[in-house]
Amino acid sequence: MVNGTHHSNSGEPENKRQRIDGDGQTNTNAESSHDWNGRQCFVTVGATAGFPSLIEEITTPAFLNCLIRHGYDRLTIQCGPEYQLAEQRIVSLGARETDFQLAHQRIVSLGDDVAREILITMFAYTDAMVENIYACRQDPAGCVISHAGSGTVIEVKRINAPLIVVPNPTLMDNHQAELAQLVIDMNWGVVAEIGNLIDAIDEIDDWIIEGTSDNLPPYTPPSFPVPAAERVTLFDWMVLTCYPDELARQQYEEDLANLAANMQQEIDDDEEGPGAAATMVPGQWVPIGTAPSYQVAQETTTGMRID
Amino acid sequence: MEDIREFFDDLGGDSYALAVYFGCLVFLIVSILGFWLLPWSWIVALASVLITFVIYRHHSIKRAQPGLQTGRRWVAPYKPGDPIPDTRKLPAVYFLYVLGSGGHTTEMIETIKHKFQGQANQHRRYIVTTGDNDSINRIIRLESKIKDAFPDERRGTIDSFSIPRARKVHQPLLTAPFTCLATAVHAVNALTREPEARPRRLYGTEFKYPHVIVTNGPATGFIVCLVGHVLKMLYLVPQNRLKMVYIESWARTRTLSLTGKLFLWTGIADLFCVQHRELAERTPGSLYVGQVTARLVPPG
Repeated sequence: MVNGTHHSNSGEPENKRQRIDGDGQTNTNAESSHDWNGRQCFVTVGATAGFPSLIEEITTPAFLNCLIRHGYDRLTIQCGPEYQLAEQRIVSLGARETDFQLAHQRIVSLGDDVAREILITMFAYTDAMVENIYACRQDPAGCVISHAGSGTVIEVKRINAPLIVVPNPTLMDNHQAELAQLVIDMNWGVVAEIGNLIDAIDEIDDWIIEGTSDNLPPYTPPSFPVPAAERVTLFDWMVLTCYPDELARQQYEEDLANLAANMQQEIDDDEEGPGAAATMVPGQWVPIGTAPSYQVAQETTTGMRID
Repeated sequence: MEDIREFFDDLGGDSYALAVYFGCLVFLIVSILGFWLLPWSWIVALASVLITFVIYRHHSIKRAQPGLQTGRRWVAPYKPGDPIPDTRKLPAVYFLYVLGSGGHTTEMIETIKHKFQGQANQHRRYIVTTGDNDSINRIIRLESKIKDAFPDERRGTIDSFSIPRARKVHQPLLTAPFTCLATAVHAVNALTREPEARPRRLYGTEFKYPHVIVTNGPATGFIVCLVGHVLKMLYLVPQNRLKMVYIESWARTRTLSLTGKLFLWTGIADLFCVQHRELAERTPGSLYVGQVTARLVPPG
């Protein structure tokens, strides 16, 4: 825990990654000839609650073997409160310390061959989520195994890294299952359960090979401030409700603009089709303050549904 | 009532909150004493008056809410040339964001990014739960991003309050009321204390109370809004402040979270927003706002 916390505070994630690679390369002259540039798997349990069963699942020899079989050689684990559990289980696999002087990294050998080694990095929390996710995105693409928490899913999908989602059933009314369903519906990644993660690794491999991940354009972080067309103005309207006169004035201006647009639209329609002028009765013009064309919530439904 | 509020306004700082606590204490003592000393008929009569007052105030505040149709109009998709609300000329724009933990914080930060525009008259207050260093780090990163984009005074001023958590993950609902009470006690201060960056001698009382409270799902957010609602009911805060926007978490696609149900049931949120169409169809009284927290690239 101490190591993990210390690491999370040290920050500077890009340097960290370079350090892993750099030290790995200098290390080639020594006993290990591994330069750790295979696929990377990043496991995260989120910032709030722990997920011990996921940690247990990913520290089994069977799972690590599966990772190696698919060309992964780095496993990064954000363990949350289960840092000690993860460390114990990794050590019990016969992990040896690295020469990198980083206490939170271990190498697990699952055979005599160097190719059957996997570098495991553990920490409790990190400020460098984006960098860790990015490391799984391409060159070569790996995967992110995550609990079905909204924060992680949003970040992974924005970076567009391959995603395996494992809903944590112990949280309040199993709400993560809902997000997992969304991941399936939107085809954002693979949903797995505790016990079938190995199948998920097989499945995500198809995903990577299908070309969704290995030849992506470079990642550009979203621009800030957001362009005017994407900006959410709802909160500005709410501020205006505190100044009713100003709100009334601006809504009136908006109505006028809408009305002008509607009239322009009708004039355009008239020019296109003859006979349309007959329908242009003033009473049928779109009135001021018409709701926008998309109707969303069905107000006919009565009562709130509680599942 | 206005005079009393102005009197509290003049006290400034913590004394406002202290006065509220003191008032609650006096009310409690008087009710206990009254329970022993007064005859039953008096107790019933006073209780009825009190309940009538509470119901009347609750509904008169609810009547002032903008309503669903208005809300739908406000979230209309933007077309070039559309008039957008202009808050730059207002005397003050004061947002209060209630951050939860983990995913709630991520969503809130994204929401703030998607709504932010540079204007000198804005103040932002963040409420974080005590000990939530992750959220504080995220706020710092967001604010440094804002500072990079707006190095001048258009970035506005900020401050933050830390209040105890209303319900920890896995905490049983039985003990939740007690932790909620602790949250409520701290929330009064967070809602009424004047920002130090906007002192009264320069800005008057414009920055005394937040204009809009934005929250997205942590139980702490509900407590803060409930306290705000009670302050409005007791005429301690002007009626055109503390507007509440609840945004249901992006993670909830089909059912409401417990906090969401509480907001919907009590009706204290001026706008009850959901981010998925399916949930909006299932929930009467909700406003579909699209995925404000997660504008994502399509896969592939």
